[in-house]
Formats: sequence, C-alpha cells, structure tokens
Amino acid sequence: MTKISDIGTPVPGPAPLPIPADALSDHRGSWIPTWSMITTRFMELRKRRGLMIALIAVNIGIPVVFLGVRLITHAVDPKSYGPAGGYSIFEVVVLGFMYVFGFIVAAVVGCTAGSVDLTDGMFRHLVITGRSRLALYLARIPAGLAIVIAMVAIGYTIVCAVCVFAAPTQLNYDGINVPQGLSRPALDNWAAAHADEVICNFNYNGPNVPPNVPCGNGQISGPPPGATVKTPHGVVTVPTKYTEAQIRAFAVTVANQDYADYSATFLVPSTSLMVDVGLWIALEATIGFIVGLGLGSLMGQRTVPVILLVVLELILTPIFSRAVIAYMLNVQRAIVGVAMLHIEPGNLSTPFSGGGPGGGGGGGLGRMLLRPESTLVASLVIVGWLVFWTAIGAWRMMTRDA
Amino acid sequence: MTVATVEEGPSREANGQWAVETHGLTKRFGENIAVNDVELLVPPGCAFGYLGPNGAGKTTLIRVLLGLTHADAGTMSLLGHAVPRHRDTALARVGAIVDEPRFHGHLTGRQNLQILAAAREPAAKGRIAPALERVGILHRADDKVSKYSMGMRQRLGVAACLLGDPQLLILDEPMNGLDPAGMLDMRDMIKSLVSEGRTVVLSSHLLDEVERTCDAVAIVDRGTVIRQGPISQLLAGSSVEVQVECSDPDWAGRLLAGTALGAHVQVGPAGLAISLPEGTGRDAIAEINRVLVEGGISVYRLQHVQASLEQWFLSVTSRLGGQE
Repeated sequence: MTKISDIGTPVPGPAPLPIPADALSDHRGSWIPTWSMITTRFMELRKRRGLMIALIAVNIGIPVVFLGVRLITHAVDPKSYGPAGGYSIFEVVVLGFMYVFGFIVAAVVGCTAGSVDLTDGMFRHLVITGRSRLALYLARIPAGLAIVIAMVAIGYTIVCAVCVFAAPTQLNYDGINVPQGLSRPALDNWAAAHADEVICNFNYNGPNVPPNVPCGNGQISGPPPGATVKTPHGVVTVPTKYTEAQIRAFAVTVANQDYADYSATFLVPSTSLMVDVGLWIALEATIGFIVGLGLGSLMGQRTVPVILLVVLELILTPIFSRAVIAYMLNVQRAIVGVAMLHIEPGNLSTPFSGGGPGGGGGGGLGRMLLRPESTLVASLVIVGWLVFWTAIGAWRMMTRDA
Repeated sequence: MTVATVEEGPSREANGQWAVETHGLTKRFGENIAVNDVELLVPPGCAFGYLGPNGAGKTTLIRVLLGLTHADAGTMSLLGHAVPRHRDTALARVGAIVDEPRFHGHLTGRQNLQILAAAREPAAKGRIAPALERVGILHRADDKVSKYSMGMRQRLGVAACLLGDPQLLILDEPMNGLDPAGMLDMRDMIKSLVSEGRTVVLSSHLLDEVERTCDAVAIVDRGTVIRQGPISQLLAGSSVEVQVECSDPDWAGRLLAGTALGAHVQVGPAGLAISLPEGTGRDAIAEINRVLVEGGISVYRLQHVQASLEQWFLSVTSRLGGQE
C-alpha cells in the first residue's frame, strides 16, 4: 500500500500541445532502432547484476584465476610447475573453456535480452509508444553484443598476454624440452643425440619392440630383457643388450613418427593465430547471443531456452562432431557448433576432442572425426543460423499479443 | 465461427471530433466474445469512464485500441487517426496504463522512463523529470522499482504515460492499489489533466470513483456497450426516489397509493420509500408533503434521494439480466 509519506503532492503540468512535427516524423514506424534505444537497452542489460557477474566470471574471472594460479605456482616452484603461458596453455584455456562456456554465457545474455521485457511487463509499455516492434527487437542485438563481445575481448586479451609473456623458454614436448622449429632431419639428429629421453617419453605406435634404456627411478623402457613378445613379425625374444646404434636408430624412428605432431607444437601462439582465434570465439559468442535472443523471444521466457542451448552446446554438438550417423550426415553438418569446428583457425585441437596439444593429437584426431564439410557450407550454416533465429525472434516479437 | 477481418477506416488527420471512435469493434478468444460489436465515441477534452463489472471486456477493449492485440472485426481511430494503419502516428500522443503497471525491478524509476522515452520522440527525454514531479515520486526516482509500493508503480505508470505529452490518456483501473490519499491525488491529477485539454479514458469497476472523476461514461457488460453518454444525462432519465419519515407509515402509504402521482410506495421500518416515474418534476415532492399533511400525518423528514451512478448501473444491468 502506498504510504502518504512516500508521495509528494501532484503539481499541475503544462498544457498539452498539438502533435508536433517531430513526433509525427520521428520515423516511429521505421524498423531501424535509434541510438537512444540501443544505449538504454545496453543499460538495462548492464544493470543486471547476476548476469554480469556470470559473464565476467566465465570470460574473465576463471581464466584469470587459472592463469594466476599457474603464475604463482611456477614462481614458487619452477621445477615442479611449468610456466603459466605458452601455446599449450593457450589451447587449453581457449578451446577447453572460453569457447564452450563463452557460448553458454552469451546464450544466457541473449535469452535474457529476448524475454525480460515480457517477463518484467515492459513489453506492453514499449508497444504503446507506437515504436516499430521490429526496431524494438533489433535494438537488443547491438546492445547485447556490445556487452558480450567486450567481455570476451577483455578475457581473451588477458589470456593472450599471459600466454605470450609467461611462455616457456624451451618447447616442452611429451614431457621433455626440445628445441623449437627443428626440421625433420634436425629433429632426427636431436633424437639420436637424446635417444634415451626420446625412447622413454615420446609416443611410439609401431610394430617394433622398444629397446631397453634407463628412464630414471629404476625404470626401463620396453619389455624386460629375455622376455618373449608377440609382434606382427612373429614372436621375438627381447635381447639382453642393445647396441648404441640400435638405440639411436630406434629414437630416430620414434622422432620421425612424431614429427607431424611436434611441428604443430609451438612455444607461443603466433599473432595471426591469436587474432584468428579471437575472431573465432567472438563469432561463437555472437552465435550464442543471437540464437539465445531468438529463442528467448520465441518462447517468452529464459529458463527453457537456456537449458536447450546448454544441451546443444554440451551434448549435441560433441556427439554430432564425433559420431558417424550415416543417415543423419546432413543434420550433423547443419549443427552450428559442428560448422564452427570446421572453420576453426590454425591447427588447434577441436574443443570437443579433449583440448590441449595431446587431446586431439595436435588437432589431427579431432579434425579427423569431423564429417567432411567445405568452408563455404560451414559458413552458410553459420549465417543461416544467425539469420533464421533473428527472423524467428523478430517475427514472434511482431506478432505477440502484448 | 466466422471471423471477419478488420476493416480500416480512411486515414484522417486529427480533427478533434472524437478522441476515440470505434465502430463494430469485435474481439474473440475462441468461442468467447470479449468485445462485442462495440460502438464507442469518446469526446475530446473530458474524463470518460469505461464502466463495467469484472470480466466485462474493459481491458480487452483497451488492448485492442492500443494495438496490443488485434481486433477480429470493426474499425477504430485514436485522435482521428485510423488504427492499426496509422498506429505509430496515433500513439505518438497517447499514453496508457494497461492492467497493473510493471517495470524492470532492477532499474530505478528514472531509468525505466529513460527506456520508454528512448522509444518516443527525442523531446520525451526532457519530460522525464517533470513527469516524475507531477505524479509526486521525483524524490524516489532514483530508487529501484523493486522497492516501490503498488501505488508508486501506479504513479510511475502515469508518469510513463506523460512522457509523450499525450492528448489522450487511457488508464486501466488507475485506482487499483492506491490508499484513500492516493486515490484522492489520482482523482485530482485526472481532473487537472482534463483541465489542460487532454482526454482521459479510464476503465473501472469502481462506480463511485467514476462518478466522482468522469464527465461521461460508457457502461459495458459482457463485451457489449449498453449505454453511453454524459453522467448527468444518464442519471436524468432514472426514476425519482423520495424517502419519508412520518407518524403513520401504513396510512401514508395508502393515501399516496390513491393519488394520481403514479408513485410506487414501499413501507419499511425507516419509513416510506417512494419511487416516482422517470421525468417527474420537483412539484411532485411538494404534492406528497401536502397529501400527507392534509391526511393528518406528521412528517418528520422528507428527502429527495439523488440517484447515484451505482444505483443506475445496477438497475440497468439487472434489467438486462432479467431479459435473458
């Protein structure tokens, strides 16, 4: 109930004027939103404290905490804890976290922007102004993206800065320090010179039995001397002693096999890669926002659309990017997340292949799992999703009873 | 079910003839007809009450007028502009509250008005502070709306209406949630708006409030407008009620029944309740007094009871109910 003390005495207002020219010619029926509509919509979203906390936490807070802990632990005990930055950390943070959860948080912002006018009862007030409903809808897009993209940009800039400035001085490949940028013969030479380390640490997937070399802590590589091992060439008995030449030759074989993976491993991400990946995760966040906006407007609420988009990103996209469903190949290709994986820049591992340099075999395994799809088709799928959901959301906004 | 399409009237410039004009306006929800062939003419520059019981279709009519939902048939215009064809032009000078006014609770009253002003012409931004001052909540303008009482939200809704410097205000149940002082303020505000030449249409089921506030009314029942016109004219057509307190009510009743006044007399514990036919003049009241005095009856009190809108409304609606 209104208390008398809450309210002052109403005072007479000015006399009404005839409908002035600016009201009649302010293009109120135009579908183009005004700058004021965009800025006030931006304000409305920015003032949602819970939403902003979630947005900042995901895009900035968690990467900062992750990198901060690595910086501190490395500073305290550099032998036990590796450097905070570098190429591999860049992959882990960007693909394992910012890409996926950036989409989800952007989708939450979109669903909020698409539904709050209805749930808060403001939609009716806005419609009564006579402003085009399409303009009211479209004003939400730049306003929401200004928030989402700004947050992604800040978080990503911090990640890039740490990954570049706190990168390791030597390339750590499969747990050992290897010079960066070696050619195949140079890597062979280096492997021959560090045969024991290569045999003990590098991945080997071949028919031969690894020779016995000491790997530290009393452990040796390969089966024990004198053991019988079944190989594709038949059953062989492990020699009691390998010659140095045999050991070096085996190390060179292993290094050769791992060269493709090694050559895709860098100390720091290149500038062009950082720019490309930045644009890529910004596009992913944009898709999350636009789809969320359309779905939120369509359903007139936030909860269910958010759940649907979380399911899309965390369940459907990983399944459709890895599984082969013969009779649903075109459906798989039409999933926006799968299309996004096809235009992933560089030779990174895919977000749903485990992340990190080893997770997808340097991108090889993750990409091999994807169904073939041209960049043009992938781009069309992405544009199609953006246009479709914008149209759906706008249509619902224009036809909904207020 | 046949669903007619909305026929739009010819585009007209505001000519000031009618602030709101509808012809054959109909809105259905499935089989239920919420607005039934409504012919409504609201003159400009007055307070007009749209009166009816709960569920009569008052809010639905307002929603149709404002383009919040579409009509199934009929034509309508606001300030002389046909809607929905020229809806943007018509609504440029219309302010409205529909149902309970709700806003973004996490924003302040001022910020909510900024959002609404942004959707109007540029000059609307400059009207935010005056509008807040006018409705008496300027000192709370920077508090979050979630902390507002119902009455303050109602006032904020009126402030939102004023952003467009409206020539026509449509207020749906504006007294809801207001305490007596708030209702008095709202009534004064409506009167002041009308005195400035604006037209105020208010829907209400509070007959007393409408009678105190409005110059003219339309009575709606089950989606149909059953009467409309100035309150004074509507009440002038009702019967004349006279209450008499006297020494011998039974004898008085018999005396009056024998006259040519055509009076319908009821005898109760408080005295006589006499109902005279519509159009009966004041002389009939003097005649009643003369008959009683000449009959040897002491008259202690004789009172002409002015018919209220409530009595008239109930008589009209009960008559309709009786016809069914």
